[in-house]
Amino acid sequence: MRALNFIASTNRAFAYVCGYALLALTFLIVVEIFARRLFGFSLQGVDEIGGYVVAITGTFGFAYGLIERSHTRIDIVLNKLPGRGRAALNALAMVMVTGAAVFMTWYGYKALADSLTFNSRAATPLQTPTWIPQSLWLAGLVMFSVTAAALALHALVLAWRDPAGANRAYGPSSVEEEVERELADASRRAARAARPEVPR
Amino acid sequence: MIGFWGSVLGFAMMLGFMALGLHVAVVMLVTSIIGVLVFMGPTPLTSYGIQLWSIMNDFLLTSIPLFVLLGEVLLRTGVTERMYHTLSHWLSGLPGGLLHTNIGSSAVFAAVSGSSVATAATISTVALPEFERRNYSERMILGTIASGATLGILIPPSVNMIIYGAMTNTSIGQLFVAGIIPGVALTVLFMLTIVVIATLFPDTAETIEEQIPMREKLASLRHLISPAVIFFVTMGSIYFGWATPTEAAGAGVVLALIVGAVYRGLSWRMLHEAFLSTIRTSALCLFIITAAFYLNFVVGLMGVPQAMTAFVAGLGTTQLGLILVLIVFYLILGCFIETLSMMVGTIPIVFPIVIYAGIDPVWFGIFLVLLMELALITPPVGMNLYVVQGIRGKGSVSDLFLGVAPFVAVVIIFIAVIIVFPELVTWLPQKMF
Repeated sequence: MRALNFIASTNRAFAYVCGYALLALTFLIVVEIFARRLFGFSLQGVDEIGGYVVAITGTFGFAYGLIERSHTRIDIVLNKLPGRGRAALNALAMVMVTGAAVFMTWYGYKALADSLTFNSRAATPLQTPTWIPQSLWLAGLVMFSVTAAALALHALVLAWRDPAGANRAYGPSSVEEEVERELADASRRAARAARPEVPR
Repeated sequence: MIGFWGSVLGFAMMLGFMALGLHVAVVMLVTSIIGVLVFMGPTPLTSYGIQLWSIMNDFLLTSIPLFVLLGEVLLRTGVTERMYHTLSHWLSGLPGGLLHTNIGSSAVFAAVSGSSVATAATISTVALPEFERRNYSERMILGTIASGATLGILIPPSVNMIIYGAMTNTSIGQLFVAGIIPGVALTVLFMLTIVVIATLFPDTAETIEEQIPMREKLASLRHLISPAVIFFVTMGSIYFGWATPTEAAGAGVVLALIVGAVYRGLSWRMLHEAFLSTIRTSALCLFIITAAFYLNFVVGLMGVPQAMTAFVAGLGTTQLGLILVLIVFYLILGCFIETLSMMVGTIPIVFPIVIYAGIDPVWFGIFLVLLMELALITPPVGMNLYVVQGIRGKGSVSDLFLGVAPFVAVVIIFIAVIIVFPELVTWLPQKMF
């Protein structure tokens, strides 16, 4: 349990970092647009950096999404099954995610190894050595695999000992939960909006 | 090489895995791997890593997290709530009163956000209390919120269009621009439906609202300025070719932050909430997209496009016949599968046929988005229905099924309209710079 909490909070920390990276990217983009339209020069490579940011944000996001149970699953048949059957399928889903994550990580590692062997660089003005963004991207995939494996292990144990608990922890996030999440956000926003505006 | 029935079997197998409740992206990846192993042996898998890198590193996809972030930031500035009240001042004089505000504010919110579910949640939270002390048919209230929110994926920017464009090599800018006329037309049609219903059944809605002084009405317009500026900056720069969709999204985020600062809604806490929500939503999209791109690649290697087009050619159907078959196909599929998964899972087999039949890819993108809107508001898995029902927190979801029924009919009629008049979709993008 302690290990799972540690993984969850690490993933959240990475998600914040990814958020800041996206924010920084938006400012970079705006500077680039102004530079190009008004002063006729380009910073070069903003689109390239954007691609890297999203690739890296993506792989770390995969892991965070798994913790948050936000990855899409179809629950139309699942919901009709008895508790034990559902627990078994929920555990199976986690095991399969782990398989997919390890597959992606292994081939991701091979892609990085190739870049290192051939010393490849991006075919762009920046000529970034490909291994630099790729190793961060791979780090995200490793995080994804570790997270998936830990969750799968927990799901298997739970499915065996406490099927109801496995279904609570690893079932597809239900509409009620989605709504609760949106609702919590929305009511906070409504409270904010109801606050009298300060005249400026 | 695979035949037509082999392709159908493969697709059915994929749906079967999905029905087991496995993650949709994992199912697509597993299906691709099985396809490669059965038809070509393990060799083509060696390039998987490099492909995964180049899919995720694609500049087109960069726009997805940025548009998501734009919506999330704007949602948290409180601008939506204020916008709703402004529109209620202006629209409640029409027959059907406040119901029009549900559609109108959904449309405006859709113009700055790419998500239907977020729109449904936000509008319900603001709207439902407004109706508490008024005399409206509850079904109409719920129906207008759930249906209005589907405009989120039709009116640009739209995450679904970015994904469609990236998967089929169709210009995302053109898709966005193509969504404008249908988006406005559908908004107007929804409102006309309310007028008709409110006139035929006067007890569904009260029209006489308290009179608001003109000065106050005009003053409230300032709450529409920020969504308008963001829409014109993002869409305008794409339309005039000043910026790519990704750059437009980036500029939109910075503008939204400025709006947040003006409304004093900006804080570290708010920003952090927006970050987590953005990473969650975009990771969900990216996971499915990476799997779908690889599936698309494998399906191409296996010769599925040739098998599909050969089969359709053998049938000798007309373009119209094909479109009608596709409508039925997507209506059925939409009853079981969530909309994004439905779109990306079917593109690899459907898009080659569409191109073969000479259907315009931009038109088809909009057509597909309209079908996805239908899937969002038709039972049993219409996500919007459950979101609105969840926020309402009382009664039965069947009130929603009845409430959206007239709007479902309108969307179906509108699909027929764009089939008869494809220019509604294709004219504006042809005028692009």
